[in-house]
Amino acid sequence: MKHEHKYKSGPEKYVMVIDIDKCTGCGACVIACAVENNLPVRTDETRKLLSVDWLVIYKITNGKPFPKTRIAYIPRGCMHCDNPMCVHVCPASATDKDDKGVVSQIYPRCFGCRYCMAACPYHARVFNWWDPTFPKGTERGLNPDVSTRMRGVVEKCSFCNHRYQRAKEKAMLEGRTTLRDGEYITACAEACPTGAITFGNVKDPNSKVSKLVKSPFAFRLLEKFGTEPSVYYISRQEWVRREADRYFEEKAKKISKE
Amino acid sequence: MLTRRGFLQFIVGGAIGTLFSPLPWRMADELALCTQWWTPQGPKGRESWDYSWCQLGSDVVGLKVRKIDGRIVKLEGSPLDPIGRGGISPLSASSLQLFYGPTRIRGAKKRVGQKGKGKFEDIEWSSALKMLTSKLKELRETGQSHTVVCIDGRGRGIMSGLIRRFCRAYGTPNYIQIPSDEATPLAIRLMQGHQGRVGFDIERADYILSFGSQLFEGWGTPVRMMAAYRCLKEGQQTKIVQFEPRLSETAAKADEWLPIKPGTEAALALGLAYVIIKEGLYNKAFIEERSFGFDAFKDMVLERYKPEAVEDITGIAKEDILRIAHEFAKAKRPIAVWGRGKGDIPSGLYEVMAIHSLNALMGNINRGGGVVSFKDISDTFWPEVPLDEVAKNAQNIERIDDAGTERYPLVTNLAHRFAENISSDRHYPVNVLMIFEANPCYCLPHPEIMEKALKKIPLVVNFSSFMDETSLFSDLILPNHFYLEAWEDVTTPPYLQYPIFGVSRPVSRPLYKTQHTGDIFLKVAQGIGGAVASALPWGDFKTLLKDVAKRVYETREGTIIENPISRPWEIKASPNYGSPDEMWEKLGKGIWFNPNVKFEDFKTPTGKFEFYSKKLEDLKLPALPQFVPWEEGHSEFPLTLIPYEKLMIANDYIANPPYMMKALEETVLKHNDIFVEIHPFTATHLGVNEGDLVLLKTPFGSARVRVHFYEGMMPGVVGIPLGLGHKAYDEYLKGKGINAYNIVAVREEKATGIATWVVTPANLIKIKRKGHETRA
Repeated sequence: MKHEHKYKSGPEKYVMVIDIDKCTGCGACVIACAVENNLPVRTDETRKLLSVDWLVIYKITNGKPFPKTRIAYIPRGCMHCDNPMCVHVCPASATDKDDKGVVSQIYPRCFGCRYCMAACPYHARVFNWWDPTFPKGTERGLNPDVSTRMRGVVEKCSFCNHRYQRAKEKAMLEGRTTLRDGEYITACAEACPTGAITFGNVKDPNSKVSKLVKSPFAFRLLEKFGTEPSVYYISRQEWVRREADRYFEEKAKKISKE
Repeated sequence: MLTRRGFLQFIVGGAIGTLFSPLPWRMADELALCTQWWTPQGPKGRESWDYSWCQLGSDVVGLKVRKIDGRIVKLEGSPLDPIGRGGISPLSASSLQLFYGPTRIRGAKKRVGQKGKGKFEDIEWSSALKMLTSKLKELRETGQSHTVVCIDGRGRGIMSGLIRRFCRAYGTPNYIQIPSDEATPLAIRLMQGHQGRVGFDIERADYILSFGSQLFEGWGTPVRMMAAYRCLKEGQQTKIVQFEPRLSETAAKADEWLPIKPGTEAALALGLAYVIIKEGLYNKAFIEERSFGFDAFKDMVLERYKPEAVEDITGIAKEDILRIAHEFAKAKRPIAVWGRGKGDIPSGLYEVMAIHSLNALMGNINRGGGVVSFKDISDTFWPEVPLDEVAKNAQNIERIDDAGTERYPLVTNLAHRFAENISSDRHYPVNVLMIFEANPCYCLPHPEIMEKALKKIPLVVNFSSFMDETSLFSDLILPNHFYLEAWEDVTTPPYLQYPIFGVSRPVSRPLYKTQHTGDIFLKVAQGIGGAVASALPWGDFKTLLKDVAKRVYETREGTIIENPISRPWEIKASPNYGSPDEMWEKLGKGIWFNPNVKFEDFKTPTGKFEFYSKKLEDLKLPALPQFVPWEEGHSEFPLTLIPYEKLMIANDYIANPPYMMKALEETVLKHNDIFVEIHPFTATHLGVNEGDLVLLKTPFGSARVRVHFYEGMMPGVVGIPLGLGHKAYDEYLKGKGINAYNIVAVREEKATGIATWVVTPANLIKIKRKGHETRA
């Protein structure tokens, strides 16, 4: 059953648009995210279920046999849904949707029940099974704007909320109350060398994202669940759209006819 | 007197009384605090920004450096970088971990234990330098200057020029580059007659044929190619065709992927040439006026490379060959690109000649959207070296790696022969080996031969910043600064279509007691004195860079970028620097570049592009491009092993930082086991399942690996990633996977001696262990 859609955004609503056709799967976004947000590193990170990652790159294939096989890359962070399942289930009010569209996570409030992880259909949330560790000496490079998280709490992508605060402070010092397009972008969007990731205020009619989301090739992951994600994807390849949201076969076919 | 009742009343009363005081609550709080493990937090402070350039691996990335109270906390792509235009690569983004990480060497070190055991003691810089200088001086005085060898892993720019110049002035022919693309400069020298560098104007091409180049995974400069991809996809919709046995990330992004049998690229190129020539689709004006030997080339191609024959060799259908050739010939600015993998899995000379012939057939040389050649400042800067008697004599001595000798007259470096010759005492003994930014004990095929060679050399001096495999086999470690702490030159990276020059300034004080290797070479030269000192008169590397900048200034060409430019290769550059000082000032932030560079004309004996090389004819070698098949597979090794490269794995002097290990997919590494990729069809024949442990056997060794099914791998071929299996470094990297270089087959091209390791016969044998589950 679809939950009541209570969320009302303010004058700003930030969304991310990822052009899958431009993404080469290089992983610069993943690294930039890890550096920006002080993600911990363990000596063996090959058990991905235990790894703390905010942004991962899924590799999908069209399922056709050699040599007709094709692959595509889908970078996946938190979807910052307008109807976030995680917020509905959190018994500690540790996660909330703010008026600029970010689903927040307040670590000191979280007591690690992991309901939110179970509720999130995108597996965007990760649990800290251990206190964070960093290779010896690299603590010197920690970003002071982001606190490291303790053992026993859940964490996830924050749309680099601290970068919003930084941009806002800068704008205020310059006597502005609103941000220009591109002034606040996430670390992954900034790092992307092919320009596949675009980030901005969808309510600003002049922003790049407000145009991109209207593309006939734009879609969101698992739209059927009614989560209303704030992360949009674009692909001109029909098979990519179908794989990304298999529940919408009809819609994918319709677009390909256009 | 204290009664029993009184005592109890005092105790109970006291306890109740204490409960009303803040003490117990305070103590509980303190206990909670002091038993916590506090997670580390980055200290807050004043923010500042700086500019730098990261040139690790194949990267050349302009950086914005974020600092908090002078402490670097983030590296971001600089919009003032015309190459990457604000993008960043995984390696440059995570290089901060290398900077602060535990594998940095913190000061000069001298070996105390056995070689290879990694036991060192600290030594003062002054005495280390004295030791090196006196040894070099002694060898020079006793006529053994040629027994000094320099290995240079950077292989480009001013720093390499400095080392090369040192070798020349000191009097040793033994300057060796690792890794070194020998085939490209050689092919250009033979076909176009000059030493200029090659640039591919990818951004303006409208049709790209890539012969196994992993264009978007580290080929050339990663950020440039990513930015180019964006430009191709947003602009003219250039078609990219990828020939590669494996569906790599580049093949995935190409418009068409055609799986080709490994190592048969030359045959395919000549097969495409057949169609273009047969149907008269070539650029007739170019061929008639500006080429030599076309008739011989034509006869040879028409006779030997019919599409049917090429289909048999390459596995690419005749129809596809015809279609691609038509599309290629019809395009306005078609370009054929070579350089396998990141460009460092060597190609043979004839293969490069075959592929470049396609560019010549379309006349797409030295023009926009084609293959261009020009001179870089690092080629033209150096003044003539004054040679004394010792240095002159050394010019007649043969190189230790046989390059340039009668047997291998064409090549300038044969790194693989270096290790072999020393370990088998083929020539003279080597007394001193100096290694700069190279890790030959890891990233040369069969590193154990190099280890053996290093054990034989009495003084191995390594300038590495990291405790890598080669450092373990060194006698003296004189660690270089990390790039964030040093003055560095930024010169034109491989395959870029216009020259650049920049200066990367130190943005941090040195964290440890390290010194700039450039300064060391200059100091040592002064210590040796005489002609060596006068050949290298600069006080330090910064002074040298200032001189280079002045020379760039004197050209009065190009421009220094001051604002972000979206299509730098198209602009009309005019000098925006009034004086050398102003230029130096501006180079602190932006970079000089010259999109209107003068191209190098053909300087062959005929003054034309030579399909048929006179020089090769003179040397009694085949003078036309040709396909030379690999030796037939052995019945014991029915499969073919190919190494492949990934952008997420750094596989040269620089090894993976922890964040890059973290970002590796679980289909590449699981715990310490590496995966090889095979097609499910191959697996059915072998009777193995996904994740099974198998023994990967080649004629050169074997390794325990796991199997990953990949529909995008050619049946019969096994793919193994390069860059894992380190024996040195920290627990984030050491012992993870296996080093593919240990087991690849090295094959020398007969005519040139260039070693390639594209194809290795191999077999996979299922490991059966009783009572143990072999699945991952």
